[in-house]
Amino acid sequence: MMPRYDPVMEKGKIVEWIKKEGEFVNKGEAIVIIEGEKTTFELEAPSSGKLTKILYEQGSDVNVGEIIALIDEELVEKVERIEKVEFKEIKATPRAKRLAQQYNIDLSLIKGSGPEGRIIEEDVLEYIKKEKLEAPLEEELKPLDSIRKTIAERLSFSHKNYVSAAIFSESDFEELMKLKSSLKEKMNKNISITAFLVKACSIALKDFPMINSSWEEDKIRIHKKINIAVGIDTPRGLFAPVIHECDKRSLEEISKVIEDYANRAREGTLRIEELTNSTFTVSNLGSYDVELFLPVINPPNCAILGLGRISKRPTVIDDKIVLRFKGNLSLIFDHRIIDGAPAASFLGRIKELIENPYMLLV
Amino acid sequence: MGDVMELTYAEALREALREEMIRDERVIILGEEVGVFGGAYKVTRGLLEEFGSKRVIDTPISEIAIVGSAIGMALGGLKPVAEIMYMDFLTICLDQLITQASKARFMSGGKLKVPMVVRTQYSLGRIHGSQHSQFFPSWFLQAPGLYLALPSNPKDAKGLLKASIRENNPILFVECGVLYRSKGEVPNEEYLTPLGKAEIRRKGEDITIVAFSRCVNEALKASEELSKEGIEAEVIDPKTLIPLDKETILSSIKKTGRLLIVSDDIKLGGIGAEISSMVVEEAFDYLDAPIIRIGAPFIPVPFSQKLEQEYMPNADKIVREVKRLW
Repeated sequence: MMPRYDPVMEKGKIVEWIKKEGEFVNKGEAIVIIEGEKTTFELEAPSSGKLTKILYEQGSDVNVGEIIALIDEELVEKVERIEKVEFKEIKATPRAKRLAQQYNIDLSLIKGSGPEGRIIEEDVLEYIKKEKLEAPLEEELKPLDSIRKTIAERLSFSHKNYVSAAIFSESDFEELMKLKSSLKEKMNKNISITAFLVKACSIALKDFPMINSSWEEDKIRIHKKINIAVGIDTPRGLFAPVIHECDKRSLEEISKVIEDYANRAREGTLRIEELTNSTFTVSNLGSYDVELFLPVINPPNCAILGLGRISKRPTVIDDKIVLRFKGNLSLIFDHRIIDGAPAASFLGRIKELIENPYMLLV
Repeated sequence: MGDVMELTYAEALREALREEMIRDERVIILGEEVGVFGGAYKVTRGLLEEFGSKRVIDTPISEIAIVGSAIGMALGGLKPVAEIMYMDFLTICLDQLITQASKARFMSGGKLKVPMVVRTQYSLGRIHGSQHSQFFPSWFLQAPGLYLALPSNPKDAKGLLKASIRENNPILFVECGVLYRSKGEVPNEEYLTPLGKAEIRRKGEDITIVAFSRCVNEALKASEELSKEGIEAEVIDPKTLIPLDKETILSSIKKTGRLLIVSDDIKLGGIGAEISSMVVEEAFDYLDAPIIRIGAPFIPVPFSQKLEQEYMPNADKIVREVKRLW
């Protein structure tokens, strides 16, 4: 407001604005130079705040009592408050902090009710209620255990380094299922589907030694031994124990070893030598409602065979539609080692063995 | 006869000894005045008459010999229960307990076992002076292999002692002198109180009080007072310090967010310090208040009765400290 500096003063001239619009001013600070009737003086800010509006430009003559500029006192207070908060130590219990973090709450907005003004859980809860904040999504950060880490490392290695290609084939399991049930009925022998598969693979691998191999920088290592790993799911994660020299073992032996491995994988008592030196892997998801899947090659193997669910499906035989047990085989192989055609022949050989399961017995 | 009977803490201990001596003839009692005199606090009264001098052995006044003999018996296949009249006297046999008994199983690759119980008691609160009132359980926290039991009532005294006698590891079984004549209900049927399993003696939502031995009763008394003011304390009696039932303590703190630990030992470097650190390590984010420890001051136990009472933790102190948090 244009002040009256002497009794006769009616108008004042604004000589110069010392402060610009938008600047912060403190109480008592000179903000404008005014020329009265007799003298020139500096007008001091009557209060602290932001100089939000200058109503008269320099050179204007203004009547005494007229408002010449606006200062927003609110703004200065807010500024001060924010500055205070930044330097103020906020006392809060770990429990309160944890809850505030979950809800993404700025603790400076909460007043503590605990001893020495400490913010306790209750204060945060009250704030949440007052502000009607949504409950945060329940998330959990689970540290990796050593099993998960190993699985992740091996699969990442495979994914990054292998040129994997996949081929699929539907196989007729009718004869194999018959054989399985008559072995059970007549001889009381429980041979698992996985065991049949492992046996079939061990025979086929003999015929296709290039698949029983590993990639090694500038060469391919072809393994003499046929060691087939089988994927076993446990509550602690996936294990792939190895049936060593499957080609030298009977179907029954293989089935027993798999059963033993499955039990011990769940107990966590597999030995390291039972988990290493595989040359090929079989993964059977047949017990789940899975038709077809793409397993990841188990390094350092060249290939992995997957089997989906076996079910009765309509099939054309001699131009007639009949119901037969069928299942989908998938072969994922490292294309650097073998090409599609030999891989297809290998898969064909496995299919032949499955469809003529007596071959697995001799 | 009902399902329970009322026994004193001392009687309950005697029952435990009797039952185990009947059950297993390898159980042998040895110690100063345990036979003819029936034990300085009458825990073993009548056992010499019942089981004879081969199984209840009065020894010379040599604590090192008592514990040393017990270790030998245990290694040789017996199940000795040695009595050391005052906890204070354990200092004399620390080598036997810490360096020999607790290590034998580890150093022999599990071939040797020391199924020995060393019973003792602390007499804080009985005007027995600085040298006969000490309670220093935390000295034994640094002896892996040695268990540490602290029964707080007749029922646990019996159940824990029976379980201890059947255990294959050496156990320091610290009784509380002022509790010997306190009565409590004890089941008629045979039972064992598992080592390493805490009991929630009172449920509450606002603060967890972990108390040991005599202080469990003080904590329960304090809880009733606090309840009048709207503060519901959950009182946990771990029963054994080693093994310690961390799960029960931690899950209670996750619920209440506050913890007070109370025991008769000196606060500095005591039980409370260990439990407090464990909780900070494993449940920091659940704490809604600083952890409070109540223990004895860092001075010898005073002989003056008034000063001794002032020295000891009690229900009033618990109430006062808990209220500081609100």
